[in-house]
Amino acid sequence: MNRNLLQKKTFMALLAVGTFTLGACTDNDYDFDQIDYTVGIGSGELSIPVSSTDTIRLEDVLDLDNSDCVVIKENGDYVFEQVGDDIAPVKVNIAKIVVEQKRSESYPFEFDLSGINGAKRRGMNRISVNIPLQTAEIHVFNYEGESEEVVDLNMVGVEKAPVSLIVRFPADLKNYVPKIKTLTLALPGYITFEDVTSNGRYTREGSTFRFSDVSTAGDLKLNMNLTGLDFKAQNTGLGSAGVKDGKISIDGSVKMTIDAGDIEINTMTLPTKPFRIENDLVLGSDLTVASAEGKFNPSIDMDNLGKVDITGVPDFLKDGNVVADLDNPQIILSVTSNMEVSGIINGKITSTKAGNTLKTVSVNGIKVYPNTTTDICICRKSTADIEAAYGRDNVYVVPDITDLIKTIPDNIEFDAVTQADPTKVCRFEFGHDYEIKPSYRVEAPIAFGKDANIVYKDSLLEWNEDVKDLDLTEGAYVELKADIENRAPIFLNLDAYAVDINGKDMSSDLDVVVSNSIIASADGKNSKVTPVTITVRQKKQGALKKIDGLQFVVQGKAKSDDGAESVVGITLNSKKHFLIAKDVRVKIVGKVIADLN
Amino acid sequence: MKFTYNIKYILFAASVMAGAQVAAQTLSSAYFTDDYKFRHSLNPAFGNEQNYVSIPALGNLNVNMRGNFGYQDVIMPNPIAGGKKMTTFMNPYIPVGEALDGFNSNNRIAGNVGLSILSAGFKSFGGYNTVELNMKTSFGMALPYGLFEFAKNTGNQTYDIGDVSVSAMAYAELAFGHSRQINENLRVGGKLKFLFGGARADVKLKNMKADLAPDDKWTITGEGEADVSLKGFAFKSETKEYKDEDKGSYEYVNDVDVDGAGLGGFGMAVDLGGVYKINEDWTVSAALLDLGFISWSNDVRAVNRSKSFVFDGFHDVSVTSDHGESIDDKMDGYSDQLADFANLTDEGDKGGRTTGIGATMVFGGEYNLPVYRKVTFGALSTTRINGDFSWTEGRVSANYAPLSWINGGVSFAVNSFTTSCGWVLNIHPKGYNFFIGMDHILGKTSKEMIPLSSNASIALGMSVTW
Repeated sequence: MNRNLLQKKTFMALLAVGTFTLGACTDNDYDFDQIDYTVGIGSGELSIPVSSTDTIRLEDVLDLDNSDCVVIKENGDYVFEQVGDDIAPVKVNIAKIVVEQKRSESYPFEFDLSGINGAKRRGMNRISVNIPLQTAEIHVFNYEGESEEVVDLNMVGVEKAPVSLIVRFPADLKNYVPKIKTLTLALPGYITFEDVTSNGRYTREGSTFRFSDVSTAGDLKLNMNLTGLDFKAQNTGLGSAGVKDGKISIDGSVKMTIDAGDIEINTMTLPTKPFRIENDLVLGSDLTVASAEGKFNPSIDMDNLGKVDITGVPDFLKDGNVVADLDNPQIILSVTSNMEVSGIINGKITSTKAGNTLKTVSVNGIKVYPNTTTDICICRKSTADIEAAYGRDNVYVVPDITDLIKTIPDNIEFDAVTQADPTKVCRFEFGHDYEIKPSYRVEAPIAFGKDANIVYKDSLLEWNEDVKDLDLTEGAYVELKADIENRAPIFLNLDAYAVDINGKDMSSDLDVVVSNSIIASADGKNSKVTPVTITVRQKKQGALKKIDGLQFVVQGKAKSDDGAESVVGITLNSKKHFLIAKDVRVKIVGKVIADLN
Repeated sequence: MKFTYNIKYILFAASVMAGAQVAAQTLSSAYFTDDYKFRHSLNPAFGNEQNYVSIPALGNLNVNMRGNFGYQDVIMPNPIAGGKKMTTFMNPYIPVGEALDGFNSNNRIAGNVGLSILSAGFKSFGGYNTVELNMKTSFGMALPYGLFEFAKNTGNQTYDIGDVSVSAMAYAELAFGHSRQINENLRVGGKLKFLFGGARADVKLKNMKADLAPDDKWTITGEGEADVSLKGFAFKSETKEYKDEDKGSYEYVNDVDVDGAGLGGFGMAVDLGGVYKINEDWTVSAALLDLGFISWSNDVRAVNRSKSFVFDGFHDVSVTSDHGESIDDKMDGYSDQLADFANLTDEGDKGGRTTGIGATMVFGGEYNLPVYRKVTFGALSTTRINGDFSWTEGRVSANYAPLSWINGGVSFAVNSFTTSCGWVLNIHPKGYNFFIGMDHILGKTSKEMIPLSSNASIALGMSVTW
């Protein structure tokens, strides 16, 4: 019995031991398959070491993308520049003026030997007498012509018109006056001659020819070529040449004076009547005016100076919010003219967008100088540099010219009414094709006016691969603080929003708040430093998983947010103007959740 | 450091962990159990009344794991409703205090696994003699508190993390023991052990520090070192290009190779012990176990190329690709720096090393209850000296021998890791001996049978006695 009891006790002991041994119980909650491997990274606050950017020059940021209308000059300045169409030169021509002969009459010279006085006997039948001076008009002519484009004439060049004057002495004159001491032929003083030839011996004073010892045995011939007419000649008692209301009138006469001096005559055969000296004056039937010096008003068919198509607008000028209020836009008009007459252009410049007129500005009285290229600057305001480049007289200030491109147009057209300056004396070749070639370009240094606003957009993307397993705990946020050194004369207003992998705006899920704008450099030479804080905060849990990056919209303005300050008139420079982000401190407040499941 | 899991790695781990089921190690709860046949393992001065031969491979099976942090300190109930039941301490919704509450200044897990191939004890030569052939495996992991704090609560402060150590060793021992009564009171004993090294691996991250306090730079320093002594072992490396093209390429360890495993080392150790019976009631004892070394024939080493990683932010970052360095270029630079810091480079075989096997000091005091001699009370102090994996335990036990062929006891211990309750049952009728015991009653385990507290112990064995 003791043995049985012992065995029972032993069995119970073993059972207890077995139970004890296997007393370990399994907690099925501790199961590798039931473990959530979501981890949190960070403590309440984690800041990464201070960082900074390189010098971010405007050329690094403002992508021109091979823009046609914004270029960077050699000195780095951004300039809005667009060249107008290549316009074919306009031809200007005043036809040769034909002055028609209306009248040409010759009159004989009555050489009167009667009334002889002071006779002195010289022999039996010969007496010496003094023949007084005799003057008479021997020819009268009249020419008329017309040209609307002639306002006034000073000197006229005539296509060579041969003039031939023959004085025919009567046959019996030689018996009495074999030689005339002095015979003077006076033509109108406004006539200019060349190539004078004569069979007599003469001296010339202007258009007066004094022949001496003229033999009356034969004709006296005088030939010349008429080359010009002086419409302003004084002392033209023998006629005049003038222009009035486009009508040209040339009147003239030829006077002959004979000074026979002392002659000896035979008293047996005293002349009883004057000797009739005939003459022939042959002038061209018409005078063709080839050139002239005077005042002219030729017809200039130049009513359109061309169109500028604004193409290749860079992105930062495309946005609907862009206001291209540039400080001093300029239209540089170049007119090359080989006319010797100066011109006046009255212009209208129109900008259009999508077929609608945005703005029209007028600029009148633009002077174009003769026989040269005139560079004209039409600008919002004149500066010392502009005047030095173009000359004060070639600078035309149009205060509202900036309105042409405040909204970047599709094109700008320059219409004009062009005329010569009829008040200035110049030389004109008639029948010659003069050329006037205009060209213009719109040039506007990108320097802000007070209302200017450019919009620059950029993005940081392709984050989703790295963040798709991450999240933020409730209330957690990421804060970025930096000191932004700004040497660009632009107030910068930064906006940012998160986008998902489809590029969709995630503002409803994730907030990106920028604390303040960045202050502009007052002069573009000295920097201003602005502390900025950017905070990224989830509005909905799980937003961080969907994010693919941030879209930035930077508005550059001339005015501060409150309008109290503005920086205008400083041209943006790709190399000299920059931003640097210094002391960049990124802080994670709360925890980042990583899903390692 | 990167580890890829492949068959070679498994073989490597298996060779280290060979014979992982049981150990002829120590069952401290049985120190004061009379006729526990393997008391000589605890103190070579102990003999047995009977001769014995253990059942081959089943004579003394021992698995022992100790730790001051465990599964339940790393894996916690998930505070997020509707999700999985459990989560890691790194879960963002578990407060820092609660998450780190289970960790200590030095978090360790150490274990011993052993198998007695054959063991025999017999009376002869004026005393009691033992011959044993055992397989022993030990492993240990020491993780400083700073590491968990750094992981859970990464902030702008300085983390003096310290050393991270992982170590494992496997060897076989052939032990010859003898004990004898010197006089009425004193009994002494000793063992001479010949050690045959299988493998040893030590991985250390020394002097780890993460300084995130300064606002201009973060510095992480640490010396990574892996030493493996295993015949035929080699690290396998891969060549990779640095992200900075100017820096060329680098090699890093990404795999291991074991070609023809075999005896990796040879050593010797001694056990020494003494028992002194003060009187009928009191007995004291002391022992020094496993005082020895193994000399390994190779020491394949890999270290990290750079001892520090410095992150000082991103400076002068260019926003264009035309000039300067973009943020991607800067990141590449740090990536290259991290590659040098975090990856190990094979330095090849350093030509062998000698390592200790971890000695144990034991001090015991036993009180036999005068009014009832079948009950004894014992107090045992055990100190294992093993570098980062050293521990100390104080155990009190109550032992009862109701019959001549059965005895057992219960014990309670406080050690460097935890508090434990243990028990032992020794059944030794004529011709047979069976024992089973635990130094630490297995508490809760995971579904995968991993002790949640990292403390577990079981020993059992069978022998034939005469």
